[in-house]
Amino acid sequence: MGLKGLLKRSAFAALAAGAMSVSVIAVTPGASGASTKASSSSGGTATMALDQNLAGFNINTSAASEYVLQEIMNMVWPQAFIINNKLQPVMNNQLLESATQTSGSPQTVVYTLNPKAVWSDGTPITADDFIYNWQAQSGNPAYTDVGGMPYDSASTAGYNQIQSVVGSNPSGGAACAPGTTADRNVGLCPNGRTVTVTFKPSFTDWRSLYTDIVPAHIARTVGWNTGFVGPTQTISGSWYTITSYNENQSLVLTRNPTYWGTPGKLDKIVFQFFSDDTQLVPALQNKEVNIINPATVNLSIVQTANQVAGTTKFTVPGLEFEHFDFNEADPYLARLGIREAIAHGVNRSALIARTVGEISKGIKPLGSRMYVSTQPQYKATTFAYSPSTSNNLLKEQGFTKGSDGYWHPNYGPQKGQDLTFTIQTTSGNSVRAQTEELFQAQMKAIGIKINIQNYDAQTFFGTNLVQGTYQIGEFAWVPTPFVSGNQSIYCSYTNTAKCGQNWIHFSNSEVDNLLASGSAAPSASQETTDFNKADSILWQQMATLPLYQKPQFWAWSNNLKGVLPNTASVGVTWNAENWTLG
Amino acid sequence: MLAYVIRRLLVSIVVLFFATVFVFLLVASSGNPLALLKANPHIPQSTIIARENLLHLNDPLWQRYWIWFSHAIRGDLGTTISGQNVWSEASSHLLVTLRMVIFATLIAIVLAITAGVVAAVRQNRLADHTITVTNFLLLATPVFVIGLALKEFVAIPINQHVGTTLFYTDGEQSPTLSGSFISRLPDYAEHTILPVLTLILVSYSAWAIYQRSSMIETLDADHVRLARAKGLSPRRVLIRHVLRNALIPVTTVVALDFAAVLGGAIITEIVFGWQGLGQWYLSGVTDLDTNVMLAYLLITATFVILFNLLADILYAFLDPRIRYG
Amino acid sequence: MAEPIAEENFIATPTSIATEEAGSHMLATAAPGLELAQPLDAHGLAGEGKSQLRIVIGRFFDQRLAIVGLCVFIGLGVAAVLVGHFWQYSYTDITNDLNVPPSWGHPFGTNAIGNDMFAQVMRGVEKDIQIALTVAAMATLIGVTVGAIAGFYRGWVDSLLMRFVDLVLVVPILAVLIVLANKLAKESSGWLGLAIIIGALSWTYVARLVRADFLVLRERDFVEAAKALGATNRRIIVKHMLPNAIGPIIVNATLTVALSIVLESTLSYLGLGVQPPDVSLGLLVAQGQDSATTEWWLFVFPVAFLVVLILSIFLIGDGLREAFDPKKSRVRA
Repeated sequence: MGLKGLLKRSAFAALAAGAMSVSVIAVTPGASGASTKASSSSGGTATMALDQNLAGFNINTSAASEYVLQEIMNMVWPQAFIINNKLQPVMNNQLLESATQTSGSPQTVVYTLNPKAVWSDGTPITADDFIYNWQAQSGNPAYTDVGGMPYDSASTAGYNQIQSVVGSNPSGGAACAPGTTADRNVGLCPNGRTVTVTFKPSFTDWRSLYTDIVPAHIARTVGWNTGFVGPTQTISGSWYTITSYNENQSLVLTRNPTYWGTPGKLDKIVFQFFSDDTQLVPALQNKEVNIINPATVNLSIVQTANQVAGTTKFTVPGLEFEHFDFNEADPYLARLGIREAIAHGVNRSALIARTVGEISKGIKPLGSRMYVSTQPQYKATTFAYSPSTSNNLLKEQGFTKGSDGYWHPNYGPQKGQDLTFTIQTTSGNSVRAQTEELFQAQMKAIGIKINIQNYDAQTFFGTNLVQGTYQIGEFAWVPTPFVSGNQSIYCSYTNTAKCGQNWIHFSNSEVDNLLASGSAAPSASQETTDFNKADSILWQQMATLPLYQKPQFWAWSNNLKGVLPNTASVGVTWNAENWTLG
Repeated sequence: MLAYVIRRLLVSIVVLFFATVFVFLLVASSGNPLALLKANPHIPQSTIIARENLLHLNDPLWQRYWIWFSHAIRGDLGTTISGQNVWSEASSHLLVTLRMVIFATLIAIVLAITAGVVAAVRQNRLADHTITVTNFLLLATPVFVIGLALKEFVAIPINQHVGTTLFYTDGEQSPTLSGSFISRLPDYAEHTILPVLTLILVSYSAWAIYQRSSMIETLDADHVRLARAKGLSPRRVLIRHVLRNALIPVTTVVALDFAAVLGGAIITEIVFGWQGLGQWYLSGVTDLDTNVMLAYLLITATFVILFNLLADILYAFLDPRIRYG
Repeated sequence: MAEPIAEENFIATPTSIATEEAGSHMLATAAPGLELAQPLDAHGLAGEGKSQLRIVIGRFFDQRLAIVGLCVFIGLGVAAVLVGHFWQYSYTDITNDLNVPPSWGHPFGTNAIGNDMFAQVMRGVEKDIQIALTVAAMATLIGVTVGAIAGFYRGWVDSLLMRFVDLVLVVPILAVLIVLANKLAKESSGWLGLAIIIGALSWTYVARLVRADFLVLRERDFVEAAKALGATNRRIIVKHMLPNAIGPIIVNATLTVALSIVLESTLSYLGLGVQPPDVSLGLLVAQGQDSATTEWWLFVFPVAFLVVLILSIFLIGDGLREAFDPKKSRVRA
């Protein structure tokens, strides 16, 4: 039911921002790399269905950060790096002439902006925008929004590791502007076309920064937090501009006449808002929209979509993955043997077969918490389904089997009674409820009793998980391709400053070291090695049990060409400037 | 009469006030709408605290209510959790809902009266049986079932058969709609047919059953028998003597039932994806947004109270027995 | 003395009360209100009225449709219980047949994880009846109490209680239920909580009905007589007045059963009612709505049983109304 879809997407937006650094939204650079003025544009209007309403346009704030908004802003605000459909960050070579890491310690990155880059109101895109966007998302209370309000930022990850942002080389050889105190850019050469970012001391995933760059000169007037409410403020620095916005109904993007690079091929891209995922396929069938990407992907939607003639359907395992959390504060789950016994008793292949397996055949039990199978850095650890191993492990604990087939612990609050755990997840989600039912049956087979108790998302995420009032939790992480965001989940729970998402009460110093060194690693490959090592320790410790990647699903009419589905949170419009209507 | 109306109005306002208190307490104590944000360590604490203060989430309940109340009296209904103006949101959603509700109610009234009269006049004959059975069947079918059935088994097959989209199942209009109002009408119509039909089917059945039984009672009344005995034609008897009296109860029932129509509109909006008041309210509830819910409450309660008053007045007006009562 | 009755009964409580529920409408009863303008011949009861019971039962069984409704309802209830105990699959069982259309082994097919739909639908029927009966009992109890007190004592007690009724009715019931159920949906095993909140909002129509009846009954001779004989108010209400008002109460209680099924199924459809892995018919409809054209059995069976269940209760209710207060068959015009 659509409500669940709604809640899911917003909950995940929050978790996504939390789980990882801000995902890089991608606009694809032109294939040739050269920025030429458009030859022939094919024209036409493509319509995409969105299943969530907007709450503002500054996607970098926690109030407005939504998956569907990214689909729009891909084409409107400049992106330094774009995640392509192979989940690799690629520099936007129409905005930037170069972006290189110049020195190791402290880490320094130098961006060179295209001198022709300009906002749709004529203001050049300069270092000032980079300076401002850093200050707004740094989490530093010294920087405040208009009216002295603290900045509302969806994620400070990465920006809070920046020491300074300085401009240089204004275009045309002009002198550096002095900057003003009010604008907080004195002496930083705000009109520079070269931007030097210095970290304190390093941030390996620097390519995840400077996506959805907010126009500084507008933000300083209308306010970062609540100022971007419509097309007037949300000016464009990219392929398309917002020309009309009917709240909760439709939003129209039109080709940006002031865009300096290769123009978008379509004349217009229209986004239509729907309140429920069940309306998407009928809308596609009725030719009301050209392309859909429902948040809830279940067999019914896929099968109904398969019956729509003249459309292409595409399913792929996404970045989002479902998993079980074990709360190690519980006296029984604190023991590795019991956690392992539970994990060995979960038949993940059967779970997949009955839930998402029918939708996407390529889904296998997920072997890593850090990367997903569609990423080249993926290193899977095999963990077998083995009820006999569970049996032995529980016997080793000294538990005895009761007459009803359930194990009886020999210590703790459940001593002498059936070993029982409660599993929680968000209520109103059929797939999750089905997963819980299957889990319950599988646990019964190895002699553990499972009770199911679900809560609405706010209570589940906001209270139960955070305060640790749960035993086993089921939910999904929505990572970005940048792995450093995992640190806050798995580093020691005692470190509340850095490890705010460690709700499993897990603590391991080796993991801590690997995560820290990986996040500050001088090279991406070192980062990968460290995080994969940390992951294998997490397997040995059975901190959490990854289940499967959730499939993503797109369907679009055959006359819409150039569509390349992208499982990163950039969404399918990452290359929408190349779409054509045939 | 006037004194009576004014007294009723004042009482209703007091009732409305208590209703707002009740709903407010319920929602405000349901939980923290920003709870999800707290689970995210990358959002700085200062941001969360700032947003909480903006929404007065940490103030004591009575103070929060007073803030809302003192603003509401002056016409300021506050902002949603994400900072949008509640009044402008509510009014635009309201217009969408009214579009559906007004059409449906008017048509349903006409249908109900007709069906009720026909069934009563032809009591126990085939027409009566058909109408009554249909009515009961429709009455027994929840709104969402009717809506879904229309969507899956009527709209989509017909659209496929005809080859073009005649019946839209989503939204109030097509997104790129432009042009003069007249030229937009067909699009509005195609989007409005199914939801309105759903609401009609739901409301009509109850009123028709009611009209039928009311007619049957009246047809037996003494003054009607007298008129017949006097030799008036059946048609004249029907129209002049029966219908007027039989219409009395149904008009009041329709007016009083308005709350139910609004309830039905919520579901219809969900099924057909209209961005109406009910759907807005539902999101407000799941988001734990007190301002949204209170705005919805105020608007619907105002309508209900007005319609109740209307029913009272209509009834007093139409029923000669009470005028001097 | 007649004025207050005229005002309150004719205006605030018109001849018939349409019971509001989740967008559908129901009639509590068509008869009693009208009769208030005339002597209480419809009730026509004097004293205890024991023989009346047999007359009423006789009239009920004279109607074919009412009998059909009763049989269907009882049949569904019995079937649900029997299936729950004796069918080879329970509603939580997970089989290896995924998304199988109706067959001998699975008369209603299976769903995506292998639950037997026959067991699920029957469990849904059982759960719906369970909730509905609880709601009706609660609503009737509260409504009769409130209405009796208001109608008997009149004055400020009456005004206060009726304003309270207004309070409950000023917003669509569904809207209030949505708020309450959202708070409750945090507990996935709380069908009793769900029944309570629906019951807490459904008593208003019975209350108004009983009050209207009591306002008039109060003036009847036998009440005066009982008072003169020194009976306490409570005794008068319970032993003398209530039996005379029992007809509409029973009819309304029956209709409340149907009403609560509609409300609960609507809430479950919205995801705020019965939570998975438990089932209710509304929830099954919500889960099956996307498959209506592909796996039709996931949608059609829950819908059919839901409609038939509600319809059967309506027929019983209508039959009861006719039995307690038969419409005089009219003379053809």
